[in-house]
Amino acid sequence: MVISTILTNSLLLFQSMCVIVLAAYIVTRSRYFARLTAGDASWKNQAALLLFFGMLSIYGSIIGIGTLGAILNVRDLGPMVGGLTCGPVVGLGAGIIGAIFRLNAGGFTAITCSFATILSGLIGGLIYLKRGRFPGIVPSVVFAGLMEIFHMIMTLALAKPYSQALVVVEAAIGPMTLINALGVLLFTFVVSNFLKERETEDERDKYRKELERKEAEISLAADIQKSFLPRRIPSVPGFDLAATSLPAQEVGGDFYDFIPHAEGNLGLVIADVAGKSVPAALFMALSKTIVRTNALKQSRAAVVLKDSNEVIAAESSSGMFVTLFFGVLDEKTGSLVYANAGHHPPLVFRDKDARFDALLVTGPALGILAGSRYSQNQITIEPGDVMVMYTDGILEAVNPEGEQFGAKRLRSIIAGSQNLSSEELLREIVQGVTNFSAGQQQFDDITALVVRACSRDEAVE
Amino acid sequence: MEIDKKLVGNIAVLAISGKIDAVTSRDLESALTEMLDQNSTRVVIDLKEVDFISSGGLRVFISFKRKLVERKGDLVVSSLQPFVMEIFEMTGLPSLIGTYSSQGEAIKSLQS
Repeated sequence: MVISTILTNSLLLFQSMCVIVLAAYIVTRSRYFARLTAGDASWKNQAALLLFFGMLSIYGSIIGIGTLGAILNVRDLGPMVGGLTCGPVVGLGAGIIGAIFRLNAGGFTAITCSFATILSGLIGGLIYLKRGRFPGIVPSVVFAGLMEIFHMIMTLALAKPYSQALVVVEAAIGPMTLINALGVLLFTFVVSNFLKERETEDERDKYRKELERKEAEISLAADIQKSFLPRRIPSVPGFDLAATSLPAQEVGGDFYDFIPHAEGNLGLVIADVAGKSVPAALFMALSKTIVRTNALKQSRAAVVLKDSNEVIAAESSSGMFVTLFFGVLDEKTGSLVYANAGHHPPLVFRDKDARFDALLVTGPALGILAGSRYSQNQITIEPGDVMVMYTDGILEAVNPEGEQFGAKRLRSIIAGSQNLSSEELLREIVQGVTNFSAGQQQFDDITALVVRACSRDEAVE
Repeated sequence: MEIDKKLVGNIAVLAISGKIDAVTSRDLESALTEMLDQNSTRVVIDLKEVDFISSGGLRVFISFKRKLVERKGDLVVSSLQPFVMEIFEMTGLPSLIGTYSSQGEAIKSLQS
């Protein structure tokens, strides 16, 4: 008999907990709860939730589990969790609904029980108000336990007759405190999971938006940077020019430039700013402007680099520097006067004897040291010769085995290019590097500028 | 990349090993900033075990050298492998940062 009662009661208890978890699940999935906990405490949301928690309180009364002389209930639970998770209006409202239902049921504890239900919702709501939000699982469970003990003490103090009240309270105080605390634990656990989940989602959305914004900005920056590169390759009688720049990331630090000078002279620039991505791109914009401004003022290569270095060194507090080759090509004679600020020496392939000349460094990279001196040299690009200016992204491209592309491979491509136009040779070089580093991520910016002096037969045509 | 620190008198000696590339140069930069915070102003960087340095790595050296000079200190490097030496020379870095063939010589240059 006793065992079957215990079993029945345990089952009822278990069922009621299932209902509570289900209620918690439903309420957290409702848009009213989502909106209210997101800060939209409109009357409509509050009213809907108030009704919901009021119904939960009524359910808590109906479920009443009879034990030795007392009927256990979870009537206070609805208003408590309503108040704790949605604030005083919902808590108090749900408490009143639960209380009215309880009053109608009558009995000698009707008044104290109804009052306790209202108080549960109100205090739960006040805790919410004080914290400004759902206070969390542990405070909620502690509150539920204390509330039930208080409920019992109040019954003792107010319910008449006292002797009967004592019997009821003695039997109920332990189990009531336990099941209400357990119910609140389950309910707030579900709610707390929901809130955490949403917080994570909000965070994720925020990061996603931030990322989208940054991507949009960087793609705009990439467009702006592209506009810094010459839009057209100038046409120079007797010469065939081509150039390209492929940043490893959206923006990069490599650049090339063509600077027109009087009397058929053309300034050629190729440069590589230290580092990659945005910092390099910013410094690229600065250096390009400075070099261009100086090169337009006068055409002595060494002086252009010296003057540019002074300005760039003064601007470079972060140690940024740029390696830069500047040459002035005379289209009538094929003479190239150049100065090289720490840049990888451009290669000139001589058609006559299939030999390479390297246009070596004539001073330190721009920005390293104010007061640096630069010298200049002169060569002549003879008909049929090809000059390739490039950045280290080509030499340092690695294949899956970790091997670098290197100068040797570059030279062999150039040496095998006699019949190609500059454009075709450029494509061969880029293709060569891409094939070599097949599948590997492009690690550094790749930039190259090709100048081919047309052979005599072509010039005649 | 790994950094090994020691003190010879009041000269800090940093022996670096590995590659100084776009990624590791950031670690190097924070290690060097830490040295500035500890008021080490005379520094030798030993590059004996470094087989690659990127332009971003060179930038870190230049920036550190300037900061040390501002604090009346100095930076020298020692024991450069051929590839690293080539990059240093091509870029013209030795005009700013003293290079020595051994750690001992580098330390001596800062003692005088």
